[in-house]
Amino acid sequence: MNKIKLPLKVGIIGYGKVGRIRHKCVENHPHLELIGICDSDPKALHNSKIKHYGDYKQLLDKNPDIVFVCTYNLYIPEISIEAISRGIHVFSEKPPGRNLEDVKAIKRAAINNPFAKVKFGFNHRYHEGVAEAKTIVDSGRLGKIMWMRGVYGKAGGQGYDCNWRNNIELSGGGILIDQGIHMLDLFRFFCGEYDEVKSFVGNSYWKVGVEDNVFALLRNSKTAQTAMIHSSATQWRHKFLLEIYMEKGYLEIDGILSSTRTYGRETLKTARCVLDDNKYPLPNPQENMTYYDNDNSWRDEINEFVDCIVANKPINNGGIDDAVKTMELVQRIYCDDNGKPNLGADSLSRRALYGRVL
Amino acid sequence: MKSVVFLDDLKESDIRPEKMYDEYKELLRQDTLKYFSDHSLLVKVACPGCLNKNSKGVFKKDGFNYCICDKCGSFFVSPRPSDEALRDFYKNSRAGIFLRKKFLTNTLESRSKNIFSYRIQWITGLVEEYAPSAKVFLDYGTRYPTFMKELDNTGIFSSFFSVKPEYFGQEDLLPKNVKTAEAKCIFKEDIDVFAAFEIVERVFSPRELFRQASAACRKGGLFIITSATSSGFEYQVLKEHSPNIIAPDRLNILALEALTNQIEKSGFEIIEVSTPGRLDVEIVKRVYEKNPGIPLDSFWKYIFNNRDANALHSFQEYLQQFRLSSHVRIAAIKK
Ligand SMILES: [Zn+2]
Repeated sequence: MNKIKLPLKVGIIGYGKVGRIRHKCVENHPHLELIGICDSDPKALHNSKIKHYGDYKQLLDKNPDIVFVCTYNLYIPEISIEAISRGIHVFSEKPPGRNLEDVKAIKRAAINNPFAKVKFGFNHRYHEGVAEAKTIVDSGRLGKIMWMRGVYGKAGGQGYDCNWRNNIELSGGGILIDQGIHMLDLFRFFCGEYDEVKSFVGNSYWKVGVEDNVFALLRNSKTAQTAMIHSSATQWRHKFLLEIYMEKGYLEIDGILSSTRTYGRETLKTARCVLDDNKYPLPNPQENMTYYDNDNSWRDEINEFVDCIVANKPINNGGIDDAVKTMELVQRIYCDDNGKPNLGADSLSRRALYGRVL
Repeated sequence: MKSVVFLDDLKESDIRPEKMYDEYKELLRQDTLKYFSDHSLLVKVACPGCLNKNSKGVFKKDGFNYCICDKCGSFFVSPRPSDEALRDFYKNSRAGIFLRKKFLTNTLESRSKNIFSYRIQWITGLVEEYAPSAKVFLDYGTRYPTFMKELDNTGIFSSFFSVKPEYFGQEDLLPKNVKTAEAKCIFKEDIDVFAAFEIVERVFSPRELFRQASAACRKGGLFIITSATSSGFEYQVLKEHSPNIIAPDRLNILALEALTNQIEKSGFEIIEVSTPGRLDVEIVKRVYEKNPGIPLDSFWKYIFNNRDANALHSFQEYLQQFRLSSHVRIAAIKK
């Protein structure tokens, strides 16, 4: 029987914006104790008293119980695999690497080292609006999901073209793998798997060597449940909208709370389909709105991760299987069933976007 | 924390038919003069919202002295009748008898449609999300036994308690499976959902009510209230001219933050604060139209004179969205 000693020792690898958010979560968790931070730039720590490591292996040598991998996507597989093979629990940011091969490699390591728990930062599942929508869907009171439609758009904004997220070597793709992947994760969270995929992947504006717009249709051929995503870096404003339509009503999550609050007030709209005397739907049913004030998603996903470690429970949200399945969707959206990229007329050259990655 | 908005229409006359409400208020006025004219029987209190002792009377209504707390903004009656005097008043006064024999009975159907169904939806949603194993429901100061029956029909709860139903003379009307109880001490962390609908306004001490709720709820149990709040548009704009500032029905019209602070201090974590009130704009407009001479800011007069129902509806929606309506509902979880 494995005995857990509290507090759990934690290392953070990669200390950019997300690494600092994770640092706060660690500080606020009663069962976690930070023992070191690894970042190639010692100045990134801003004179913090926490011990700095330039090489992540030196940090792993200190035998932390958990590492948070907050690096560029390029480094996620190598670091995660090394940590997992040492029996260290891994919490990694999304996407889980640059492509399907990366995440499959992590999965192989996880299978060989079942002690180590692995979870990825699909934090949208923990937003209050999403969690409440999930409760309503699971209650069955609005019937079965028929379709979902998701828009996740960015304004682009200052320095967008210079951002590491658009450097194919570091990221593996553009707006879809960076941001749209959350929407794909939510489609799976609400509705399970999709075996049919149709898509257009294009570069309309930014000309940065990765896609800036993705339109995709997903369908489960057995249940006919369908989902449509538009992931965009030319939305000219920050936008999040997920519509979930069921047999007896609908839910819409509009806006999502973020640190910058630029995606709007997180709102859950709920309505029942109302029938007239002849049993046909009325055009404007009564809609109720719920507004959310706090984004506790980062905190709550870490709490769940720590609970799973302490109680030795399986990871049910954002675990390695979720990561593989979601990356499969990313891969299938990027290229068709013959492995050819799904490019629009305005698209990138095959080599620029996919020559290296797929 | 979250906040809920309801966008459908509701008219005040749907839940408070004007003629009957006026008749009730007139009886209340006559009875309070009779019952409480001897001020030596009344008790001076600190602000029930924040315990500030320095508030002074700001206006009088039906012989009662209303204070507005200069610290937290709550409206409250001081001095006020004791708990026993209140109970006796509701039981025996003509107003009390009218309330339960005529008012509660005659508004039952519209309340069931316009209020109970929302409450049941609210409770169902909260239980599903936060307390799926909930079985024991407690209603404090039951005014509508029918509501308990409708809630029972959902099949969520297996056990019902009604505390102080005699306050409104409802004990005989309760469904058979509802047990009645005195508030004091019989509950000890065994209640899953503790509800107090429109009762904070009437009790001698809201603090004591929150304390009892905290003692009664199990860890993870839900405490849910609805109440009038002085932070809302109707009371802020109309103050003593509000037709709903009536004593002793509304001894405490607490500020929103005073309510949430006290509930948190009693050992709860707040999960929802909404002001789903749908009537503020209609009420203020009606008061102004009936009595154009009341001291109302010219901006509001301009809106009422020059903008249509659409604009007013949007304005009420805005009040709901930003927790500025005069009717609040709060849900909290016992820590
Ligand atoms: Zn006060």
